[in-house]
Amino acid sequence: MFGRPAPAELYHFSDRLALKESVQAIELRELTKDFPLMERGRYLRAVDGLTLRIPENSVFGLLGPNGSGKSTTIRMLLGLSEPSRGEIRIFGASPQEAEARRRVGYLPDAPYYHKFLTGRELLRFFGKLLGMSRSELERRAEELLAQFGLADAMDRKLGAYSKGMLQRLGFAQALLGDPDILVLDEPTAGVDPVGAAEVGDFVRGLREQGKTVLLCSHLLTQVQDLCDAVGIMNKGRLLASGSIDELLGVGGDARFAIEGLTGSELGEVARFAQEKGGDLVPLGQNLEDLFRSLVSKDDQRGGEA
Amino acid sequence: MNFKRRLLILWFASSLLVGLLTQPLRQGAVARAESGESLASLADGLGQGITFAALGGYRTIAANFVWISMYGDWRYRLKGEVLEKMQLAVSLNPDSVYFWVDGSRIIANDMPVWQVGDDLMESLFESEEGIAIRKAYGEQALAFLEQAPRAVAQRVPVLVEKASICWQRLADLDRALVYFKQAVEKEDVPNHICRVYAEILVKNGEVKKAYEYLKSHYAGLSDDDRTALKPFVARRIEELKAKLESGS
Amino acid sequence: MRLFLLLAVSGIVSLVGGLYFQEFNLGSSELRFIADFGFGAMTLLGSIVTVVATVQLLYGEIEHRTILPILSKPVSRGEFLLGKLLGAWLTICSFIGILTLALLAALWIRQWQMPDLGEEALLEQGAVSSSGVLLFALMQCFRLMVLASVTAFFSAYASSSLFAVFMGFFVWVIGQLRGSLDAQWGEGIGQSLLKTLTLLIPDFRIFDLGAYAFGEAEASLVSLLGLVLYAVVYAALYGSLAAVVLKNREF
Repeated sequence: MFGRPAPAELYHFSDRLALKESVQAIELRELTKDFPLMERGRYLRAVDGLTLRIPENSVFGLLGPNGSGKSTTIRMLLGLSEPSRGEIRIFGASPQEAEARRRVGYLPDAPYYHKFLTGRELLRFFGKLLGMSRSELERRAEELLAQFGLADAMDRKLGAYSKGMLQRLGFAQALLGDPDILVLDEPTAGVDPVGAAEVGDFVRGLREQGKTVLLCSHLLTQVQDLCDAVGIMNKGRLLASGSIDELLGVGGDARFAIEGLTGSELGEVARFAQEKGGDLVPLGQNLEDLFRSLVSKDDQRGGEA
Repeated sequence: MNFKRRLLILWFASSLLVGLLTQPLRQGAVARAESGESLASLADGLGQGITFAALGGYRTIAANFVWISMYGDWRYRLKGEVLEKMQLAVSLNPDSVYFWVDGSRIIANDMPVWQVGDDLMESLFESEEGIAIRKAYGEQALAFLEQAPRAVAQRVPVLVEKASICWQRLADLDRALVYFKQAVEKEDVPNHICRVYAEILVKNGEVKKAYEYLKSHYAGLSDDDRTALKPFVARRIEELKAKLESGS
Repeated sequence: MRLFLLLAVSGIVSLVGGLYFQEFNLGSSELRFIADFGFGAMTLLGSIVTVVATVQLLYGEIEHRTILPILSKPVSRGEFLLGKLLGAWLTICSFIGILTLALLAALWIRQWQMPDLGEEALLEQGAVSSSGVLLFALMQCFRLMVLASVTAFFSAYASSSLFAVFMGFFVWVIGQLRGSLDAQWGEGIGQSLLKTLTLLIPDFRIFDLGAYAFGEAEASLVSLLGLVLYAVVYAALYGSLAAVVLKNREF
């Protein structure tokens, strides 16, 4: 992505969020990621100057269409990819430090696990990577497998697990080291509605336990219900961020719907708003409407540029 | 500079440095490996050699199969194919004395006949042209044997083979005697080779030398060894002595 | 694992074949012929196990993205690579170990079938010493350790498993031919240039210690330690290069 206009000043409430007296679990400052292209000197900007602060013990939803830079951001956060510019802090430390990663549990967007292992063996493997003692590991593995309803299947090979079982096993491995931060990449992907509801309950439970959750999901209704704050990304840029209430305009910044006008009258209202230096913004009744409106508007701007 | 270029430079510089630093270790080991299984010569079969290089220890077995398939071509007298396969087989397993000796015999004895034809076989010893053909193949067989690794070239069967080519195919007794002498100086030389050496000396007019040699040979013979033919050797010594006395 | 078993069985079958394929034996002793089969299995099948296992262990993790949850744990990329290389080496050593046992058993069986031959006759026949076989096997472990490191380097860089496998075998073949290549080249600048280039590739041929097993050479501790050092230095070089590539790789 190159030769694009500077990010438009849209809805950023993150500074207001940061004013709250709380410890920042995750901080992204001017995070930028460029991928070199085959053509000499050209690059693709996957993430563009992303600044975010996620306070401790909160659930943050990172939203965006496919290719918006969410996964790249998550990979940088997990130390799997180096930022081209900017920095990442996990409780003040760089994700390149093993100790910082110890505080993060990661649920990948697909079950990237060794199919030849059993559920118990997989947890043993990850537990060893976390440096857990044998007895603690055995106890915790059994506890988590039971918690996620896998007690009967723990000695079965992963190749024989259903999608839902693999997803639950993913949660178990993410929680194995009792991390402070959980990064959940598409936790409801491929899960039936009942499973999705269970995921919701589980995330709420994590917040109650004092954990910080970074959640990427396409189920916007669920995100609206679950998250304390969200960030909406498109083409690598953060279009809006803040608490759900702030973004949806409940409170001082409330916006209102215009009803009962004809098309030409609406046009007059729009012209009036533009004469006054404003704009007619579609009403964000819910997160899904806001998301669509922001993304399509950003796409239009990109197209015009 | 992008990562690919930096990596290439890093690989080149570090590999070169390690290559230089380990050169003394490698050179010591090369000498040992050459006495074991290694590709002796790839000059004529580099393409096939590369294929077989990957076979590692299976090379010796592959060489056997190449040699067997060579016999297929030998039946149809396909000279080019036979030479190529012999070369490949000895490249794959240069330690096989059998390959060297058998190969040289095919070149020296069979190939001249293939060239002139069975009906004109006698011409190899009679006509000028035939003799030239016989000698050319004799030289080629010797050149083939010269390629053998040092350890193999010094073995008695190879030395005797060289000597007999010089003697019977090239009619060059002086050269034959050089190889016979090297052979009889080996500890494991069979007794009959020693006796043949003495006879070639006589044939070459070096009766005194033959007499001296047989005497020293007789002195080293064991009474228990049936192949020693001690009475026969003693009789021959007497004959040579008489010949020398009558001659002087 | 399946491939490992398949190759181990192939190696043993090839050894058993060696016992029954005596008619193809030309000009070498029977025991040596069997040993050649064993050594052949160790080097040829060993190289296949090494390249395939290393690519599978390292590039397989990248390809199937199983590396993502692993590296998100407090594990450095260097530790990950070291673990993979040790895993590959353990696989190689187990494979060589199985074939060595099979070879020693085959030699023992054949010697037992020839009870009339005294020790001297066996020596004349071209006896194969057990210590020589063990030494050969040990050196194969070191040789294949270098090959595993080289393959790890290409696996860390590769964007397809085919590339990593191809490069692993390419270096294996060039490394086997290295000595022969610089001996074949002409004089002058070409020779010097080629010799410089051959310095870039490890010489795999020097680990062929079959001559020791056939009693054609004497092993000295210093020379063996030299070989081990040679292998360790090259394994460390390519292991470090693989670590550099992996550290810079984006996931």
